Amino acid sequence: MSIFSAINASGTGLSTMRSWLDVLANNIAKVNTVKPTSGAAFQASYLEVSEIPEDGNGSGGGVEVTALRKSDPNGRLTYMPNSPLADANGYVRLPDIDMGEQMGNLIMAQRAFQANAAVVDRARTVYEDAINIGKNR
Amino acid sequence: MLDDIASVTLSTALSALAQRQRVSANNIANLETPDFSASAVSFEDSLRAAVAAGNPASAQVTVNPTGETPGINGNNVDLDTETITDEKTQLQYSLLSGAMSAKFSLIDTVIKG
Amino acid sequence: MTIPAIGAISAALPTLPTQPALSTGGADAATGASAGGDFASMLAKGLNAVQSAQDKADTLAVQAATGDLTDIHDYTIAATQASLVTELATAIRTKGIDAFNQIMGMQA
Repeated sequence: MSIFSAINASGTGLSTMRSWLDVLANNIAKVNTVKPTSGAAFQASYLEVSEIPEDGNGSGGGVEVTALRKSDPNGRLTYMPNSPLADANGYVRLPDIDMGEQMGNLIMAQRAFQANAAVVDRARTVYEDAINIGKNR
Repeated sequence: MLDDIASVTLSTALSALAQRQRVSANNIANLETPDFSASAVSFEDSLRAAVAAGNPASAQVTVNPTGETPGINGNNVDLDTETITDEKTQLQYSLLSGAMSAKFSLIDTVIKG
Repeated sequence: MTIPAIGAISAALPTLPTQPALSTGGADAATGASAGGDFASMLAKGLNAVQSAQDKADTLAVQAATGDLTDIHDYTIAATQASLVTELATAIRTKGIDAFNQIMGMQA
């Protein structure tokens, strides 16, 4: 649909950023998840995004999530002999999550979400002005 | 009706501003997309020349890459520039659509008067 | 004196002054005012302009309804123009009828 396409594009930005926020929040919540060495570690999720091309206007159709990838299943081998899940040598697997990176991404995702919300607001004003041309004669 | 230079200039500019806003919205939606290259709409110079030549409808609206330096993930969207551009576009659009309505009221006055 | 049939009205009003062109550019298309044009052809041109302006507005309205309209202002500008052209044609018709009635009154 090419009517109100500025709002469409920003809408895709809002959905994508919201998905990113959900993924990041989940990664951060699971950063201390302990798993035994017999299985895989908790794997953090990462989003792959790409631009949606739009034919016709030359203005592009926004952004979409193209893939959900998982991080390294080996995780980080950590020495925790007191854990009930520790193996014979006292090791467990912790997820391969860098808290600093996740928090930095969280801030970027929030900023991008707000920027897209502001665009929706401005675009709505423009479309309303167009609708009001010639109304008060 | 309404094919004088000012009216055609106004409607040409309105279309160009609407495209500028679409392009800016797409840039901001792709703020975090890796290897994304931002674009910008330009039309003012072409419109000025077309008006001087007496044919505003012949103005060209062009969409070009901004050429800004990319960041770490190859994305070169400058959020501050895009925000300012979008704010200005919105205000200009309000101004020009108001001007269009004013021209219509003038004609209305002449008809009804 | 015989009263002319309705169909020959334009022949009965040879000295009706031509409508002066409005000062707004392009309004000539609606009035069809070429110097010396008679009232019937002026009205016909005016009605054609009304029909094409309304058709253009209708086409854009359909595009807006199906979600294919990219620039909203195209529709609102066309709709306002159609409205103005219709008003103009109506005003011309009214003034023309008034003038005719005045002249008919004089002939009594």
